[in-house]
Amino acid sequence: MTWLVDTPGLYFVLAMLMPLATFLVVLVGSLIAALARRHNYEQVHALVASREVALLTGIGATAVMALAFVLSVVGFVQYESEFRANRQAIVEAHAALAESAPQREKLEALIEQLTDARTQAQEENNPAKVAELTERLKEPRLQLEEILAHEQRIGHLESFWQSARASRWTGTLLSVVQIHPTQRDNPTLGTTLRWGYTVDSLTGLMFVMITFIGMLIHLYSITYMRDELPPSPSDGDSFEYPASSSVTSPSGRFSRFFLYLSLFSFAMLHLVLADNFFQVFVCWELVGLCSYLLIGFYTERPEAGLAANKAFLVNRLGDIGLILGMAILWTYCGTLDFERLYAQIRHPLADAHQTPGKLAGAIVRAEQKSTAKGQQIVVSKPGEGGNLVVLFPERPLGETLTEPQAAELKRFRQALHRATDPAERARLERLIAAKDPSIDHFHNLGPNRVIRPRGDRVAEEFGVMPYGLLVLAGLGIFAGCVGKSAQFPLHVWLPDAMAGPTPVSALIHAATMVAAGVYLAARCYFLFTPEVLLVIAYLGAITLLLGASLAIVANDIKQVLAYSTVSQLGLMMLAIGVGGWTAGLFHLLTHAFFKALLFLGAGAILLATHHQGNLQQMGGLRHRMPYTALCMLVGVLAITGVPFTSGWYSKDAILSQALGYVYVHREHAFLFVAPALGVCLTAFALFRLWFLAFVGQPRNNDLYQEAQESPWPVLLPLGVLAVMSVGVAWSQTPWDVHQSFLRDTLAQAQPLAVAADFGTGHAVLFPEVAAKPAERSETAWGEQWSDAAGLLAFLALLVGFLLALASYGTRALDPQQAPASFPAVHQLLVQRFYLDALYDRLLVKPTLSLGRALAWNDRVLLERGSDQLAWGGVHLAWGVRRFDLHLVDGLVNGLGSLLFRIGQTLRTLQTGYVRTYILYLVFGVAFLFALLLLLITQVKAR
Amino acid sequence: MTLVAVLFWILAGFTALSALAVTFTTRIVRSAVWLLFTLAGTAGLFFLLGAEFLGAAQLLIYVGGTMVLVIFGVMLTASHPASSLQTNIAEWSLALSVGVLLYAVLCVVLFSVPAVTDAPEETSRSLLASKYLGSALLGNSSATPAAWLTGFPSEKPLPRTRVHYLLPFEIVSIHLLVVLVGAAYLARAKRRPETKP
Amino acid sequence: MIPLLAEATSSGWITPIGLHHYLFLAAFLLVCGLVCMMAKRNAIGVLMGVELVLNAAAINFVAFARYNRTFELEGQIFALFVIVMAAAEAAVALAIVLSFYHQHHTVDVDNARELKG
Repeated sequence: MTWLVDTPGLYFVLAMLMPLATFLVVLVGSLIAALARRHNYEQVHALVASREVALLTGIGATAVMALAFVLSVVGFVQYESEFRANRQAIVEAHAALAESAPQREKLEALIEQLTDARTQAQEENNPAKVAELTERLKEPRLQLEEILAHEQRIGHLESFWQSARASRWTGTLLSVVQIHPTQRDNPTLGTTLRWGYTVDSLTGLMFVMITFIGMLIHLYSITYMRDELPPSPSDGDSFEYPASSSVTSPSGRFSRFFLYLSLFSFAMLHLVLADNFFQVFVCWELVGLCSYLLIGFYTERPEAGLAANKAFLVNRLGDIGLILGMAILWTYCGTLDFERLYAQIRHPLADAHQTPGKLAGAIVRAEQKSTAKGQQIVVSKPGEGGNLVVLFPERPLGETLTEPQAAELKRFRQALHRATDPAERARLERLIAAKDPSIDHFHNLGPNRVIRPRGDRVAEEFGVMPYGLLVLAGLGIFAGCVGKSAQFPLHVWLPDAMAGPTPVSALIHAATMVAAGVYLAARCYFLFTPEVLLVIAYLGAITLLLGASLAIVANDIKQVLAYSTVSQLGLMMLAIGVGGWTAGLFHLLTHAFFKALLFLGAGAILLATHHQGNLQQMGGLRHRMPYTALCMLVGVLAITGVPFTSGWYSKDAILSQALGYVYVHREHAFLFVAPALGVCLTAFALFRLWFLAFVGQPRNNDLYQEAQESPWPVLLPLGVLAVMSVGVAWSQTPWDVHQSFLRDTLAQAQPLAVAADFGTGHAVLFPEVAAKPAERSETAWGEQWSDAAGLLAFLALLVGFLLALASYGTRALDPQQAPASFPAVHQLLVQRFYLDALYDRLLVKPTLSLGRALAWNDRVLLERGSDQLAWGGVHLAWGVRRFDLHLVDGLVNGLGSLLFRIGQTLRTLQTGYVRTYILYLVFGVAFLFALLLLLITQVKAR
Repeated sequence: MTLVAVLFWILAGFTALSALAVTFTTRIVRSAVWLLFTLAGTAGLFFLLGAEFLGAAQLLIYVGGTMVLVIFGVMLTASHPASSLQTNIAEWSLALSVGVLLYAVLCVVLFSVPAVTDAPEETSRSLLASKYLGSALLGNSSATPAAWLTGFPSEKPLPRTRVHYLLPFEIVSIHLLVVLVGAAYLARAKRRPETKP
Repeated sequence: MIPLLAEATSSGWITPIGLHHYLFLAAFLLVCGLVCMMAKRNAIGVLMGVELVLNAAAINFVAFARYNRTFELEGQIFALFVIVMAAAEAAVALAIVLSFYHQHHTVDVDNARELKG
């Protein structure tokens, strides 16, 4: 087990592999069952496809998820402790270094003075003075060494954490997949794809959340899906099952459910663990596949299949952008790893001397200008734009040396070779390190610095990429998130996805899969330029309002929850867009708990009402199901952000950040109005749901009579989640909305880029260095105005609650009045803003007609066209044959007849007369004699 | 004009005219007679040239033997005394033109060779006597004249090698035998094909 | 080109008899013989042409023997051979002609057309 201790990151890997193991086992089992049925091994089949084995599958899957949860918790705890310890040490070292800065300056000045004096004394050839000065130099140098030791210590700590993280918390699962075979130890850009994992606070938290909620939902599903179990031999007549029973037919679907659920869990965990886009994309598609399989789980319902198709296709639309973004990044940055991309796109924190960069964490833009030395790439000032983005070297190096610098370096090296005094050696080494570009040495970039990128992108050199393409990459990746997280305009699949079983809706479409989009947006935050962030914020805001408004008029219980999920996801995206990275992810985590709770509660209601989910048919159910009603109430309170629930902390964080953003950018006031309005609408919609379901007179008596509390596997998760919905965000002081353990843990994972874009520099290490002045920092203003934001949110909540109470709780207001007064608005909402119809008209119908046209094309061309083609071929063959006959044969025959004619002609020479032959003979003789004469005269002439 | 020249011109003219007559007469017997005169003229030329043996041999063999043979042949193959096989003018002209062409070429060849004449004191020299011819034919190479090789441009002319002609003599003898046998066979009486009644 | 003719014209046709005279004569006899062979339809006529040709050759040989000391022996020997061979050949030819006459009942050479192509 030492390897587990040495590489604790494997905890998470193991946790991720557990559901995969379940998946494989269930798959093999189903294969055995299918093969047994095929080859008529009835007993084996009956055994494997029996009710007991199916139940065992469910329980086993739950146990495995529980084990994965335990592993995740262990890993998370270990990670957090190591991380905090290291962080603390670095902070202390930085503090010590900062403290000693003035002393260091004095010492350096003194040393310089003494050294100059000594050099002068050497020139004057005064050995006594030289010795005296050398003596005096010793003391300051020692003191300087101590101070520099801090610097070294920071470097040591950081490199230790880097290497420790690299070996302990990150890893390569498979060997490098090389597209171009290059040296394995030094892969250059654009040539290698790695398969690996990386752990940080965000990963840990996501793991814990996913495995926890997954475990609860597995437990819940055992009861919820009991209708899908194969019949036991004692079951006689109660259900009509088809004769065959296999994993694929309805009566054996229980195991299949857990098969898909396990695959989904594995894919989701892997997505969160992945450290590069490639793996994320693979798992992205895999979760999309599982979503498709699970939405369409009830194969006998046509709307389930259609909804599954819709979900998958709409997801794929978003994936176009994702692939585009990945392609752009691969082309310019040559890598898909998040860490390496971050290192390239954002300015590093500090240079080789641990001096913090003014532009640390920012996207540095440059412009190609024609200067006195020709066309050069010059770094722009932070405010003004530039059409290029500087890509930083991954292993930062200095510029190449000029001739005098190289000569100086050589002298230093020679001096180092000769020097024996350790202090002298240290000094020379420092000087060499300062000037040698082959040692890791990076000086911070500032405005008007000239960079010289190479033509081919190499990891050790600067590069540039067009700014527009970075924007496009960001938009593309966000498009993927839009598809996955059901933002406007790709939100249309989520309401329809409620056709799947409720545990699926709880796990996938509330807590995890739709969260994957937000997670990716958070991970890729560093890619997003201000334009992209604005787009994210606005789309989030629009989605927020859209979802909340559609939830008001929905009548199916799961639809209401689906729309509210859409709305909350919009809120998370809005948070990321306005700089609340931590706030958005915080809300993601809390939302997972209370949304899962709400869905599971809805499932409990559906179980009680025999899967009849129309809110208008329910009423007063709290008398029949008090426990469920209480848990649902907790969930509703959490989602609306009532104080002391987890939702309160996260919503407050988001709203304060939004207010701060709007304060700095007055023109984007919508970005605060929307969430505030959203809070009101959400409150109204959710309380309406609760009141309609649990309060008042029952509208359907049969339903009411048959409703009862569900068994304990349903109630236990509800209870646990209710507790978590309230307490997951608490700190030691729950009444302080700014204090939260969860939030602080999340803040550890926040990239520097967020602080550079919206805050005031690195909050922990270099708070005095800021890319933005304090009065322009959105985060600072948000913190200042957070009380106001909280108050506004509470007021909005109150308004919504009172309206709902009035309309549906006490029936003081008639809920039918509003639709009657605003019929157009009501119709708009009921028709889902006509978006579905629009998509149908714009995309679906043209595609279908194109398909029909192509099918007609094929049919007609196949029949007539290929016929024509065949006949054409036949005619061509005939023509060729004629050609053959006439030309080829004619040629050959003509040749033959020509020869024959020649022969005939020559034949006449053979007259048969002897005298003719004698004539020829004499003629020949005469001819030969003449020839001979000619030759002889020629010879004689020479 | 010396005697040699006169004799030459008479004999040469006689021979040439006889040869022409051989060619141009139509009747075969007359042609044979003119051939006889041509051969006699040739023999005379041999005598003039100093090859007495050869002239005698010519008269003996050619005139005495071959001409008899020819006359016999004429007589044996005569089909009709009056019929004579005529050649038409076209064939004559063709033959004559080719012949004239050949004669022209030969003349041109002859003209391009330098002239050779006797030394004045040797105008009536006789060639080697028959005894020398006979001994050379029988294998004695001492009869070879001690003369210089011609045709070799040299300051030091080479004496020619000594040869004898025994082998050709024997070959010719065998050849004559063969000819005798062959001619006898060829001219044998053949059985006439049986004519069916 | 023609040293002899030049000499002849300059000396006014008074010239000693040399090799050329005999050679010209021999050539003349040769051509006559060939013409005879080409033009005569009677087989015996063709034979007579052959005799003329061979005679021309003999005259050539003896002329060279006379005017070139080196070939004194050769000329005569070969002329002798020519005469002998001529006789042999005449015998054979006549045998052939008789055979031909026996078959075709005529000595017309034009009847021997079996080789017509």
